[in-house]
Amino acid sequence: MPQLIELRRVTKAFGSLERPTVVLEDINMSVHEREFVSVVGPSGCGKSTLLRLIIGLTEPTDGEVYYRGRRVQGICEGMAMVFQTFALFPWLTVAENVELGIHGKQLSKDERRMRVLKILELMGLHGFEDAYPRELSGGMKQRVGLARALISDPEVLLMDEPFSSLDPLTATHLREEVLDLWLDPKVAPEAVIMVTHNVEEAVYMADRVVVLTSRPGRIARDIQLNMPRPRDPRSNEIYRLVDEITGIIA
Amino acid sequence: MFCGSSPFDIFMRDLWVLLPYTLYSLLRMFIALAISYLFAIPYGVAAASSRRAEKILMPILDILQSVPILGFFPAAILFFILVFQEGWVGVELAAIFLIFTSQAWNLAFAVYESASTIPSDLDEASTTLHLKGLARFRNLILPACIPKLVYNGMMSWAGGWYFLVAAEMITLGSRAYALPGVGRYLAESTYSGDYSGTVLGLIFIVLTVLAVDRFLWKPLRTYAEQFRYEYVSLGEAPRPSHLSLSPAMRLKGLLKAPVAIKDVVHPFPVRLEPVVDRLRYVAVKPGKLLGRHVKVMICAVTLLGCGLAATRTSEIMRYAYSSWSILTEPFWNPELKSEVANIPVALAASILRLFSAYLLSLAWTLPLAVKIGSDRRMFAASASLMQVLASIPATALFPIIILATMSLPGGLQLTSIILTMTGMQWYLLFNLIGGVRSIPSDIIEASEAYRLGGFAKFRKVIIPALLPSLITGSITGLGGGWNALVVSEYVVFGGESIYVLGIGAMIDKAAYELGSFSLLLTTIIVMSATIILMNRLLWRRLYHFVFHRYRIDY
Repeated sequence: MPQLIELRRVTKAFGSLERPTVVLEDINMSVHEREFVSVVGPSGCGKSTLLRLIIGLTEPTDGEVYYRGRRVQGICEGMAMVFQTFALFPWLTVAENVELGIHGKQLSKDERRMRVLKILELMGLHGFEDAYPRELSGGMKQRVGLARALISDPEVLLMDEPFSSLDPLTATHLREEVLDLWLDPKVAPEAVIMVTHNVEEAVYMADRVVVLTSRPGRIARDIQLNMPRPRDPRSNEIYRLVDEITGIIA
Repeated sequence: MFCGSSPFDIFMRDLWVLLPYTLYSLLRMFIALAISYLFAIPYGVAAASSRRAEKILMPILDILQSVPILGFFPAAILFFILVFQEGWVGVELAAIFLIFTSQAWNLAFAVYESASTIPSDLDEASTTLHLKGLARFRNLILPACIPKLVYNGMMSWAGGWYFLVAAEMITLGSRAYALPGVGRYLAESTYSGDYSGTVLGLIFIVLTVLAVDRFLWKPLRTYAEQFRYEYVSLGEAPRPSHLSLSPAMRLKGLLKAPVAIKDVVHPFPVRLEPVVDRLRYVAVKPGKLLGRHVKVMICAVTLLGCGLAATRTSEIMRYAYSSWSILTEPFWNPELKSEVANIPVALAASILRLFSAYLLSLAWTLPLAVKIGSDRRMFAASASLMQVLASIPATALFPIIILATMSLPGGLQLTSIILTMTGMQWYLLFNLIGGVRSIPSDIIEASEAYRLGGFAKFRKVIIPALLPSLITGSITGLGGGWNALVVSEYVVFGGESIYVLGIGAMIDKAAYELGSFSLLLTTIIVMSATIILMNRLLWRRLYHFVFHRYRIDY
């Protein structure tokens, strides 16, 4: 499969020049089309920073990020992001929040409305168009977050701990729905990169798991999972992988 | 005079004077508030948008805020009254400008604070969604500022009333201008000993403040709730908070408050939807409202102003020259020299007075704030009352306060401290109540679970949790106090001026008695410099320390 994203010797440091805090060091990795990649690692290892480097929210201190062979400078067109804290605008309704995902596109008013309704329907938010985020449960809020990301038909969907603010039951449901979307060729993005600290979640959902070490984050392992879907979260193979990865992190 | 008229005739005559007077004052205040918003929003947003802009704009704001309102009088008179040749328009504009100076800075700070504390996830989300320029302003920055714009707008509004008397009776040296308005009416009645006029004027002011609170601030407060962030915690379910505006809550609100605009602001009955959409559109996206015709109007007014100014160029030049010569009047004028020598002692006396007033204000606002803030029903009941009390132009009531307190032990000194308190206590009270209201309920619950009672709870939980708002309240309160010093250390009462030793009294003396611009300028600079130094050296450090240590966040 063709390569979508490439990170070449990426290092990221914060703080002053004299006393920098290096969060990511010498990261080399690439993401290909039709790939669901999970990035796991202990807290503070720079997982979230990695996503922010890929979409262009922040620039690497050293090294380069490429998207379809072009260097990432500024916010990348064709990528969309889902946040751990949902990042919904409390003053906008569900429909208005979702519509922000296509605000820059040249579309007629009717077309916009239609796309919003279609994606809300797909995310199971039908009937909540005019609700405000504070009126929704956590699971519903993250659905809005996903709808806002997916409405622009992004090539790459970036998810930063998308399920860790949800209660376990809601998280389980939403994981299944995200996997269903991933398997639906009509709506699925070309690639998904998900950052999580939940190893079971990473192994259960992804095609590939990238394991980072603790600060400064480096790639400890890059594991290709060739398990068919649907997977059984209680299968021996998953247990074995979870143990293996947990062993690397701990 | 009306010596032969019956009390009723006098009452009716006053009523017919007061009605239009009140409307004049109200109009003046609204225009000033609108201009304050127009100034504060771009200023605050610009200061928050880049480090470099911040470095220039915030110190300027700091200085502007610390200049006592009276310090703007010479500028107001020089510019507006001269441009419009002492005519009605010029005096009116000068008054509006003075009210503006009592409202605008606080709002600009509010915008700056809101715009620079936008949660980083929303900020990042906006960036990934390619929200730039106007779209970012409309969808992110302006909505994020709305709660503070409303809350600080209420404070500014109250502050405007406080200085209404000063703005409607502009005096500088031998020049005196009076405008039709309820502040002037109140002052003239009280100072001439016509206390029935005082009561009547007060009734009008209280009614006006109540009406504005009911029909403007209350619906705005409700509206602003929609713009608050909420914080995510694990396993969160929709909170049945009183702030959430579910349809059922809206219905209840509608039944309870049949006239409130808030019910129109929130989309509720289908029949009202077109109106609702329009209103929400106006409220959420005022960017569009500034359509072409508004821009054309602004341009036209500016051009008109410039044109008028141009026709008066020669006079302005002449006046500027004469005021320059007054400014450079020799300091070795023996009388002025002795005045200047007095500045350090006067300043020390004022600082002592200010802190006495501060401690006295704290002594009553802190317990009351804890009481009101922790009881939701009491808070709801008292919100409007506080707004009214804070809005009463205490300056106009000074003669009554003086009569009531002069014979107390401590005499004039105590009186001036009490007068100073009128300008600072409300800021403390409002900030403290806000602080109590924002203590998370889990901390209170935890303290109850661990049986912290009475004093221990007060000392270990409430005071530490209140420290950030106490600091904010102290900074704004002391700012108000400095301003109040100017009006409370020197009062004209019964035809004679009563004053105590202080820098505020010196400012008044320079302006009213000596008519000396150089002394006025010197005292104002000394006072502003003192305020800035105290803010820098004391309050800002405390603020950083307290926010670092006692901020409640998860």
